[in-house]
Amino acid sequence: MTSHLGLMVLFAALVSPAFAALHRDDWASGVQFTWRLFGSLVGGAVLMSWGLYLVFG
Amino acid sequence: MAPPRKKPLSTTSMPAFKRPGTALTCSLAWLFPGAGHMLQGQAGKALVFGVTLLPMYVLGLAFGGRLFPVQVAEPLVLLASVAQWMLGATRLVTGWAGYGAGDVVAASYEYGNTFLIVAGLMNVLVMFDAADVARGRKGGVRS
Repeated sequence: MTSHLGLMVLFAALVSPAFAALHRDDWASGVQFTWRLFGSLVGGAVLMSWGLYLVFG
Repeated sequence: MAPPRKKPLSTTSMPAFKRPGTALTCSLAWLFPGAGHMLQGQAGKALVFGVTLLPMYVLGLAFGGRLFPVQVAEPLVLLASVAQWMLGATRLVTGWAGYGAGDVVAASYEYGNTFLIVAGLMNVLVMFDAADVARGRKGGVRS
């Protein structure tokens, strides 16, 4: 895989459940935390990449 | 009316005085991600850590990442090496088997390195969490 977006999504998908298991003790909030963290990581990276593109061309 | 009971991710029904010691728990957690939690009776968390951290490490190698040597003269290499050694058994086996030479020209080389290093660093957090469970500070049912 050479797609930066794909690799980033994969990284977020692996990191999010691990952090959720560290910070939450029940399934419901753990799953919610996973999705929120995943969304934050991917969404934040997409926003940052657009920002860098606009600033630096 | 009592609030609805949340289903725990993992519970340990072992009373604190019967739990395996912190040193053994952390050692196992260092060797295999999730093993410390499994020893403490937290199978759910152990499964999550095993299913996320081990594939992250393997993918790091598959993407052409390098297993860095312990090189004191190069601080950044040393730090990367120490991070990768935080997944003890995996690092040992993959290094012995000859993996991790690193494909510098691969487009995913740096991603591979990142996956390898982050897997190790996250296992450090897992080890701390396992230590907390062993001491009775965390872990579902307390006694």
